[in-house]
Amino acid sequence: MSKRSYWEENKLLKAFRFFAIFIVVVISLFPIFWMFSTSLKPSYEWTPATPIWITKNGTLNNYQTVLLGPGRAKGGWHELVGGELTGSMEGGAGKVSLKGESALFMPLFTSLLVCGSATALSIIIGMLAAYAISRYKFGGNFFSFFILSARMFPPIAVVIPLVIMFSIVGLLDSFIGLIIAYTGFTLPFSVWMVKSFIDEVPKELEEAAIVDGMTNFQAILKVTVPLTRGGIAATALFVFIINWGEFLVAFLLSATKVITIPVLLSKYFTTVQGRLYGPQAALGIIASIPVIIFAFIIQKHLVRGLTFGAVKR
Amino acid sequence: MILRLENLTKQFGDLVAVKDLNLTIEEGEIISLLGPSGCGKTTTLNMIAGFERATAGKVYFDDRCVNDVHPKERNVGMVFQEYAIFTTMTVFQNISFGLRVRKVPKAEIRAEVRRIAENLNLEKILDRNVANLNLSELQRVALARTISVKPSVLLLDEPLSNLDAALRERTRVELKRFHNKWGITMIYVTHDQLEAISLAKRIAVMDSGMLQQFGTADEIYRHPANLFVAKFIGNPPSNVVRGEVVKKDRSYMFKSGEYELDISMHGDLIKKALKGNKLAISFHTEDVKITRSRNQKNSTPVEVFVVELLGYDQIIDLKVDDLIIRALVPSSMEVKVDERLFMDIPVDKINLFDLETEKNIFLTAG
Amino acid sequence: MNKLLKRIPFPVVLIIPIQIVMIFLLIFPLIVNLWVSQTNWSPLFGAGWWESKYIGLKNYYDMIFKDPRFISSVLRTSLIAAVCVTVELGLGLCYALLLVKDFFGKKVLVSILLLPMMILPLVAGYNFFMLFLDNGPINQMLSILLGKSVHIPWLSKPKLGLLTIMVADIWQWTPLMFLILMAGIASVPENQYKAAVSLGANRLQIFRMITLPLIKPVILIGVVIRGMELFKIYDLVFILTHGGPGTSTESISYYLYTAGFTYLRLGYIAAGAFITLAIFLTASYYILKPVIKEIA
Repeated sequence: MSKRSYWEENKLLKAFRFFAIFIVVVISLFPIFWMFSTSLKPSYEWTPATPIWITKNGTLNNYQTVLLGPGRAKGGWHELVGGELTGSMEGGAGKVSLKGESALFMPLFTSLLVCGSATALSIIIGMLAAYAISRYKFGGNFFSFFILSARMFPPIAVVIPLVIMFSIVGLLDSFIGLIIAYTGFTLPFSVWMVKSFIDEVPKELEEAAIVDGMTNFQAILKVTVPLTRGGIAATALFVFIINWGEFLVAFLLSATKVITIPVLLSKYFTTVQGRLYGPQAALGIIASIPVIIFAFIIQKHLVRGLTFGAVKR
Repeated sequence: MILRLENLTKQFGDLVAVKDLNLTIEEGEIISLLGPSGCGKTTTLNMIAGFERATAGKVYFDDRCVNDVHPKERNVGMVFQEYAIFTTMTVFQNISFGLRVRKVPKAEIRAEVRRIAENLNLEKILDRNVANLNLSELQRVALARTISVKPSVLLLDEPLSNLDAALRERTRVELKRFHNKWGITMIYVTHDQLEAISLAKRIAVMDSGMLQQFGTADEIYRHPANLFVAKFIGNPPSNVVRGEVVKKDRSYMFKSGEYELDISMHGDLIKKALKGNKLAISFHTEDVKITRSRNQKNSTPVEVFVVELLGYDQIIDLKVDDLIIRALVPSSMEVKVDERLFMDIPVDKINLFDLETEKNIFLTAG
Repeated sequence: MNKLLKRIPFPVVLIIPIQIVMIFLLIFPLIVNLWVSQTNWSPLFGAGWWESKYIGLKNYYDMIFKDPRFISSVLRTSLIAAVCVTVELGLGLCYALLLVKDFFGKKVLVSILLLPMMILPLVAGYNFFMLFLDNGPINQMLSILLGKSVHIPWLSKPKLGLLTIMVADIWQWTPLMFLILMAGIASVPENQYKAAVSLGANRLQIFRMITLPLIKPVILIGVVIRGMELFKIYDLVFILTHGGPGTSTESISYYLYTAGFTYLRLGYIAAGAFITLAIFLTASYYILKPVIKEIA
């Protein structure tokens, strides 16, 4: 229903549209604004009787807490209770202690390492499979459904056996364990998104390369991959975004050693001192920035990724 | 309905797509808008249909100015290059679309659609989904769809462009038959002169947004209004030679470099209509006569440059001094490259153009 | 080794890595689940899983017929999925129709509208938690609107809690439907639109008779994908209501998690997990079939 400007819409409709869009923008941004505002509030302003929209006592304490850990941040809530964050939560692999672990450094490193490796693995494995499905129609509908089903399982259903399996091989609460799990759960996206990109490259180019003497692998590497470079990069960013926000799987498979940022976030929720809205908001902002940047970069391909390659711009 | 375009102009920012177009189309005519890509023919079509608003000028349906009438109210039938058939509907639903939109009662719709379908040989596939139709069927469905609402004019945008040669022939015939049966005013846009000549009664040749000439195929062929039309019309394209006219005693000579042609027979016309002495002449390739030996005393000696065989005919490029003149002769005449031959140009068949105005002085004189 | 590889057809070589991962991550767990679910394993009683007793299908029987908490979580999750998908679809359609025209700043506007999707789901949950607190801004705004003091306990009443969860999900994922629908609507060939206009159709008729049928496959994909994710909903339940009050807002995932790690009747939970899997798989297979045809 694209309408070019050959007929102006009447003023009333235009005003209505403008108003409606305005409302939509406000609704979309309001929770984010609230989060941002909260991240700058001192602790006594977090849950007052009357909510404070814009703080007059803006402070960067929350960010300090998040980045440096409570022990080293100046001022803020922990001075009220005089000490470190304490408390514990039930994780999938046992009690999770919070003592002095709220600094961002370790979880950031963990998240980066896990998400980065899992993304790379997922893309590589997915790319190979995508090629097989695209060019050879491997496995027909059943195989396709099979891959898609990795995304359909409620993680909880898979986690119990995974916990058992991991504990046997000693992968519980380990980097490798998380990486493997993350990889598995994002494979459907990798496969389908890359497949839709490979579909756009004419088969003839690879066939020509093979006729010229390359092996199948070389043809993929030297012909298909360069041509789908942009698409693969977009897929990688997309998978990274998904991994970055993954909570349940990380939560259930980690205890003390591998804590990703979302898991860290959840800790701010259940500490003994109550819910730490300020630091949580600050962390929320910090954690969301890379995602927003990446999502903006691949904006054109977001639809493709979210619909497993079915819908292309 | 008489369609009239009055000083029609369309501007997109700095680009003037259509400039001061004046055209009157009689009821029941088929006319063609002919011209190269970007000449403004499709924009003109869109303005008639209402999909573009004129920047200046008016479009009249009979005596009614329709500039401000929304396309959906204009009752104009449109057939697109790729037919734009509604892909989610059956043939029946496509044809009945206009009627359904007007909330015509179901029984009436069924009767009318059957009637149209029978006329276009579509009655057997009425219930088929349009995905499996061949090109000919698709076009007939597109036509059927438009006439179901009895439009006042039918607009076609390059209807034959995406067809191969054989199909093009058949479709041309079908379109002609369609017009004979329904008698509806048809305007179609094309860049192919053969299409224009074979289908249309009158042709409007356009270039760079401006109307170059509007007349029957014959008129355009015999007397192209300006250099553009002269160069555009003709297959292979006509020869156009630029030069000047020199008056020697009582005779007028056309000179271009070393080449000379006695055009005294047009002397009066030249005296009356030509300002200055810069002249261009045009003549069709098939009017060029080639002989092995000197035919008349002022036959021009030429040298064969290129020979292209086209089956029944051949195109021969002849070198005359610095000029290349192309001639269309039967293939039965055996000609070799570098051969020396003689060329005659029938002066009664040439057209003369004032190089200042680029206009044909046959038409600008009285 | 190379010789062996050469005898295997090339496509098979390509999919070996993915098969390994899938088997490890999917098949094995399924088998283990299957087995564990038929025991009464519970680490609470100090036994390792190799020491638990085989009890056949008793867990399944108990779960389906004797566990109202499980059944209600299934029903509840279905309700959440149905409502959220419908609303997201409707709203997404409105967004897409609002933004059909090109105008100055459209790209920026679209980016803004996509922001909710790009916040970490957990973070979004937190935000809504704060917003819907008893003394939070939502109540505050309602008070101003209605002129009297409003303190709706959004997060502590069962029906309201469910509503809050749905609102949070709708807020976050409507942009996805919006994106999908916008792409679908943009792919309607312009000439079909023009043809319809010249035949006299108004905007509503064009939307109903031409646009809508053409975007049906796209709608289907959106519904299936979103529905799939909604069935697994966990993060929002965790943050907003912790399944409460009591267990009245539990989703399937949340119940299985809680029951699993609170009561540690892992055998029992494995059965629950398996039943859920079965439901998901069969439902998805039939729903996904038309979708697979689109993407494969």
